[in-house]
Amino acid sequence: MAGVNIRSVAKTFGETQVLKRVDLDIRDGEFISLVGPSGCGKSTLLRIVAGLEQQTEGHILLDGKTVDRLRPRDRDLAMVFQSYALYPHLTVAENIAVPLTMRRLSTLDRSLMGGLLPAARAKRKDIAAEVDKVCEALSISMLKDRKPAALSGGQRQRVALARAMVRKPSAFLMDEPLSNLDAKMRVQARGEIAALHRQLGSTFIYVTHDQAEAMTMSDRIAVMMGGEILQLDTPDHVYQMPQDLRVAEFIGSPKINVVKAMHTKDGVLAVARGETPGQSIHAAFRPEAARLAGEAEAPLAGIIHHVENLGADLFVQIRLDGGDDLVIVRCDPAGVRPVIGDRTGVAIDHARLHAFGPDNRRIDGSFRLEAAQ
Amino acid sequence: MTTGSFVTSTLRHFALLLISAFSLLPFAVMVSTSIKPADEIFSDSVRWWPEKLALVENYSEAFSAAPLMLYLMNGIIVTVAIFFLQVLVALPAAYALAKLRFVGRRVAFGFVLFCLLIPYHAIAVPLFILLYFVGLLDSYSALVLPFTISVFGIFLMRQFFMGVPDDLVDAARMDGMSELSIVWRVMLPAAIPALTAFGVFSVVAHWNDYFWPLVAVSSDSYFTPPLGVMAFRNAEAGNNFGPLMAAATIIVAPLLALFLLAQRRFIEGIAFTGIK
Repeated sequence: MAGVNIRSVAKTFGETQVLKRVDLDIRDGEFISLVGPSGCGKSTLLRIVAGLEQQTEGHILLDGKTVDRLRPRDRDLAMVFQSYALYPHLTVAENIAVPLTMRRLSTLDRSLMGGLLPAARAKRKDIAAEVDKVCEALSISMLKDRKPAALSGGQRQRVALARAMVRKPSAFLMDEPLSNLDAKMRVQARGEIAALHRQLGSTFIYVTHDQAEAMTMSDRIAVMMGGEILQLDTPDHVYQMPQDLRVAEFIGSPKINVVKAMHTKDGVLAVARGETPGQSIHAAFRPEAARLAGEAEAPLAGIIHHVENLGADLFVQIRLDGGDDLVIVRCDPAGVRPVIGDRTGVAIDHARLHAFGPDNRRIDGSFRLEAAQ
Repeated sequence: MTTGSFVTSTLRHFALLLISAFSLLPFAVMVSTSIKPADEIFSDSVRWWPEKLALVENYSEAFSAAPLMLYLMNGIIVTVAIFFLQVLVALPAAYALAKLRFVGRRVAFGFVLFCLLIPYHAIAVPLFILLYFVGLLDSYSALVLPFTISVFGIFLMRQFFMGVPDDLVDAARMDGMSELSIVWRVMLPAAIPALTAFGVFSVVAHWNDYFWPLVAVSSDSYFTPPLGVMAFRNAEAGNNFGPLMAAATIIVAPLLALFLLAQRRFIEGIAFTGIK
């Protein structure tokens, strides 16, 4: 068990700066997700924590101790890779045993002679027992004698998890472990990994580009973009109180609606059309914070462009007047069905309206959005 | 099958048959001569199967006229030692060139490519002088040492290792393997097809090598098979073709057996499809 502290870690590859002085304190036993689009530096940060990559600046602390100079094997971490990275020539049981044999058996024990040494035999027996236990926990006991090539994606992923768990490391690092699974398996595996975390109580650092994975499993989410952490918060806060326009746009599906607006007077935003003189503000609201309404009472109006029926939800795309901007509004399928091509207004729940300044940062306070003047 | 494709396929197979017949013909002559008595070899009519079979005579002569078993043993010792040492050097070198990041990696790989261009005959004289000064001429070392570093092997294995996923190497590091353990425990098992291909190249080249053994050794206790065969040519009784061809057949046989055994892996290794 250990907390992980990342202290102003920076990384440059040649000319490009991949990480810009990232700070992150992960508590012992916490499930934290690093989420962001590809190329945002999340995997690099994870690899630096693992010791597979050396940071250009800054420090990594495990359990309060600096580990910058330690090799990966000495950091007491386990990692699950996107490709699972199982050894193709070893059986499942042998794969899972590798972290234990490499650490507990000496070179002599591992050699062909090892079978003759009673001490080595006893150690091998212990290792086999521990492998059995882990296989049982992940219900892969029946696969133990197979080679990875004979396993399905979901089974390989479990074997990779088992190989990480068997050593009881102080923290787990996961680099997009679910992205090679099909959509159905992914939802199931999401639940299993979350359950595993509750059961083991270890620190989990989970890298993903899928905001749904981050939202559903994490205690806290770190949203990364362009080599920095834009926001570190609980899933609820990240969703409901995004501190940066880019965070708001990244988290949530369908995407948050953004309209350009002008700050007219205190707490009132007017929808801006075309080129805006001076500083513009972005007003943002989620599809569920809006509803279709009469044009007279709504700040936004346009033509219904498309209706997506997902069964439980109806997402209505509206092309706003005076431009090509689309906004999406969630409707209840039980109500009146909107007709494509009709004109409609969009009313907004102002308690859930966010405003972001020209620097993309959140502007605190409560706002109203009004129609263009 | 349409008529057109049947015709082209027939033509293609005919051409292939012609080419293979052309390359197999010397072998056929060799085997045929090895079972003929001397007077039939020099008769002016061509005959594939002799009137009087001299199989036992020729082959027993081959084994008794020269210490053929010793030469075969020498051949095995030398080729196995060369291949073993080549792998010992090439795998770590190829791993470093393919998977490690260090200053000068590209330059090092450039040198490997450059060395591929040098025929070893060009450096035979300096090698000979070098071995003379360290006093290793006329020994197994003289036959083995010059070939322990195979740039071709390094190049072939490096190309193969480029296709091994980086994640696998990183996983091994997380699991506690040292870099050398990774080479022998992860990369080697993954590279069996490529190693087989390289093994066939290496063993064939050094089993058949005539030039270097001729330069490096003089006492016939170190003779490799091709040198041994020449003993029949230089025999005092003139050219003794029957036993000579019998000896040649015996020498080629292990190579053929090896290639047939390794054939599938050899083709896999050349096609670089060993990795999923």
